[in-house]
Amino acid sequence: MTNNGTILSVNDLKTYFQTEDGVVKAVDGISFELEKGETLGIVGESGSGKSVTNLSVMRLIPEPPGKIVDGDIIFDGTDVRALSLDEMRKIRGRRMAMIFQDPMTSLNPFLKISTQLMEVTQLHLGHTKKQAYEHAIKMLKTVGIPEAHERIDNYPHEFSGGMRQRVMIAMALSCDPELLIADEPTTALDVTIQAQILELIKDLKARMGTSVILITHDLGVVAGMTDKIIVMYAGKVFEQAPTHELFNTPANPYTRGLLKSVPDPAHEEGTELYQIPGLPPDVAHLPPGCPFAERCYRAEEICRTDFPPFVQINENHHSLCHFAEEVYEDSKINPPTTAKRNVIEGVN
Amino acid sequence: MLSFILRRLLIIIPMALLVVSVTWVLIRVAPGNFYSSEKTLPPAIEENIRRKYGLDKPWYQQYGIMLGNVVRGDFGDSLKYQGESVNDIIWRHLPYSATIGFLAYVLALIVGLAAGIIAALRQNSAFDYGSMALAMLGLSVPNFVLGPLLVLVFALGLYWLPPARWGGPQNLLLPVLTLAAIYMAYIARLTRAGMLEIMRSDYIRTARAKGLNETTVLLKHALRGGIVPVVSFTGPALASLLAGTVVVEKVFAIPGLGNIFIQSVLNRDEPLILGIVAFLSILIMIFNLLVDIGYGFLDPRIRYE
Amino acid sequence: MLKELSCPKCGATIVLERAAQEMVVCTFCNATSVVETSDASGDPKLVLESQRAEAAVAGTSLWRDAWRRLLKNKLAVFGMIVLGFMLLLVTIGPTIIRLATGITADYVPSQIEEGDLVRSFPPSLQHPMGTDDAGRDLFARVLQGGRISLMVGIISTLVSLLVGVSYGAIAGYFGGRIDNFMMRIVDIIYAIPYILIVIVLLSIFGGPNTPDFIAWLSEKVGGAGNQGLSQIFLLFFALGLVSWLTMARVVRGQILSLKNEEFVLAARASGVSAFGIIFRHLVPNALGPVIVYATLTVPSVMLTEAFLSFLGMGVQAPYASWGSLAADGIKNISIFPWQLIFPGVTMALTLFSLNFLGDGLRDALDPQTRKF
Repeated sequence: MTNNGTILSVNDLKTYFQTEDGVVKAVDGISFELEKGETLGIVGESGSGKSVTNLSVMRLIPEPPGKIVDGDIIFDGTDVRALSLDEMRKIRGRRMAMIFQDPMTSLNPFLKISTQLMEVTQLHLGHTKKQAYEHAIKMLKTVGIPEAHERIDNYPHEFSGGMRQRVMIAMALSCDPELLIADEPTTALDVTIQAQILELIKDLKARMGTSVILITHDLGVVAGMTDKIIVMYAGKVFEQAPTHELFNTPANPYTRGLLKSVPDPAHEEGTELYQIPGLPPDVAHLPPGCPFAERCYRAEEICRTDFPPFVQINENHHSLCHFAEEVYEDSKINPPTTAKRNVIEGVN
Repeated sequence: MLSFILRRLLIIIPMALLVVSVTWVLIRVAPGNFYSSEKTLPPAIEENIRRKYGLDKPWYQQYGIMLGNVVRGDFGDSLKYQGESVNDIIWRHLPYSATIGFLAYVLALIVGLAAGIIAALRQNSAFDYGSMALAMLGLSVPNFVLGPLLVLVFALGLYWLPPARWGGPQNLLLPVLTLAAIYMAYIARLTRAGMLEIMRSDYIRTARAKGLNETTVLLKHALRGGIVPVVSFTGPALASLLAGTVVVEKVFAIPGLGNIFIQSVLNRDEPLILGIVAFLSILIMIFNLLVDIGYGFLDPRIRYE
Repeated sequence: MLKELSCPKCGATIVLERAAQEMVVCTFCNATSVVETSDASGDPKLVLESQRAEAAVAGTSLWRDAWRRLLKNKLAVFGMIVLGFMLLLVTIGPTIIRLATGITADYVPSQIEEGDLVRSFPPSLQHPMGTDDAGRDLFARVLQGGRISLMVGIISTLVSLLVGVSYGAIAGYFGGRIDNFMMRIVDIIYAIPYILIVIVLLSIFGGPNTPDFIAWLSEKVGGAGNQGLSQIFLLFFALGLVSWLTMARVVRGQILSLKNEEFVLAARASGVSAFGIIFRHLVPNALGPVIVYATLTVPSVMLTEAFLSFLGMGVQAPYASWGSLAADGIKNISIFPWQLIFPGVTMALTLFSLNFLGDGLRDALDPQTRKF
């Protein structure tokens, strides 16, 4: 792993949405750092704020109803929040790029793939039409689209879901960005295609040295991909740790629950799949204590009344829990699953 | 694509015949006829006229003859305007209505699209509220009230423009504006709604994530999807332009087809009614076909099989 | 079936890819929403998963929600107030004026002075909208005309509702060839200039050929041999019978998307007749768009009536409508502009309010187009 400085640093980010139900604190005090060349996984259930975090980094929060109310976003030494919109546009697509969840709707159905690919390099790299066209073909080849010469002038609806996501990736990587944010890039795809797309991202990242943020609700996806992981719940960071440590010795009951609920092919047949009880809370009306308390196996009275502390377990490992140390020690003796550990060992 | 157009063109003929048939039945079912409103004729003359127009034959023969004439595109002579063929009447009066109608729709498109797009971009701004309130007003003021009011202000009050009649471009301004108002309003509202819908979509977010500026996002990425509703409105709009031209022609004393049509209905001038109905329905169907072809250019996902 | 909805939390667009999709995750805020189709409008609707339990308890709160949203819409509220005021004015206004001043719609003031060349006077304290050609008080006539105009609007819309909903529901429910045949008929009628149909309907059934039940109706309301009144009743039906086409299409579309829902299958399985399913199960579920569209039909029917009156085929003397009053006013526009302006503006204001109310209802009943 190359470690030559920080590419992105997010500090106490707060992004709120004004809704009919009141203020939704979609992201409420998130902090993390991403080193150059590193891959960060952000994991959480729906509504945990992981996408909003990254849309905030790109300054793509629809405003209104959303608004970044507080915090710093430092991208390679630049304060993103202080940039003018024009300056921000020079960064978007050029230095940080994004892949979205649904390739079916994220490509413009009215425009040819070539047009959509070319406009990025024409804008940011000053390509002529011809250069841009050739570059686009090269990018399509890079992401593994067969017969790129012919396919380039097709429309999005003429591609399959997996191929469209490849096109999205080609588009995102056209200008060789320093940061790639992949927001659930495989959620909308078939399982077999999922693996291919992840493999592609991993491969391109290694070749181009891009830093990656991978957002997902599926811990299985981040296991083989990331250097470190943030677990989010109800707009807060619940746990933050290097990937192998998070999988082996989680220090938060929520992470333990997530790990237990990943389907495990090595698991004995007939055993029931674990499910965290209950539903995520309504972010517009959060209780005063720990937002996970209602669903937590370890919860006590204090969890319902007092907001938990962000406990530092070791240098790189933090957990938001009243009983973080205890859960951590417990995980050492009693790891969530053995199968998961095998996955991790195969990677790092 | 070509076979699609051919098939649609072929369908127009039986459809038009059906429309003409229904119209014919309606005219025949209605009590009275052209002669019942004219001064009473001596029975012998009426007999001759009946024979000349084939009214003495049984109804199914008359229907057959009528259909045959329509297929040949020959509607015969008008009953009211003796000695003039229906086709001549249509071609003589059509240019007036077509000029006003065409100009009005073009004006409505330009103003409506521009206002709708700006309103969508500056959602909830003063321009948005102002233009949408104006559009609502346009939908609410009957054109036969608007026309005379415009005349009152610009012709009778300010003496800027002539109040009526056909003539130079200055004569066209008020009628075109009167006719365009409601379509302008409609198109502005449709454009705004369409653009707002598209501006919320995923691919617009992608376009923004690429670093494109708002103008490019709008013109290159959003516009095509945003104006789809306007294109689909064009078909019904052209059909209803007719009723609009009737009013405008009456208010501004323009010898257009709309007035002739209303007159023909009031006079029970059967050949003229059938001719105009056939002409208009074919026109409407051709425009609908053009709109469908237009869709194909607009949206690559649409295929014509 | 790609259905675009907006996230109930942040408003971002969410696309449903499968017809039977139950849950979606918003790409913007990641909120999980449950797809619900039990909505009155029949359109799928997203409800935040976290709020679903509450919604289930609240039950019929959908209509209450819609009402709440409607009340938030200033323009719609403005429309409702103006309409309410207008309805009140035209119903009790003429009576109050008559009791207070003795002026009626047919009243001609006697103090026309020697030397007056005309009897049409500009607005004054006594005649706030001036007087017409015959010297009758225009204000009283506008109120009287409002009754007719609003009645034409409302009753014709009810007629179109009856025909359009039944026609569309039957076509949509039976589908296949029946649907195809019924909708082709609609297409054909669309291609005939509607004005022709109205004129033919009016002339077939006008005068001595007035259908029995219309004659009966007008006799009940205004006494025997009242030609003007039966013309108005005829207008209700003629206008209703040309305004149902779009309603039929709207309802058909709704029914098509609803008829394979489980509640329909359940009803069919338990032996409910086709008629029962259509009118007891399907139509009530398509009510949202029907109400919205009906609200927008009222102004369009009123416009058509005005247009017919302008052509001299609508409301006949001694009765008047806003349209016929305005049409009379046009003749004298250069000398007595108030004769056009007052009926015209009153009518425009009413249509304006109706359109705003219709818009507001659509926004309230269809969260998809909700503004933020």
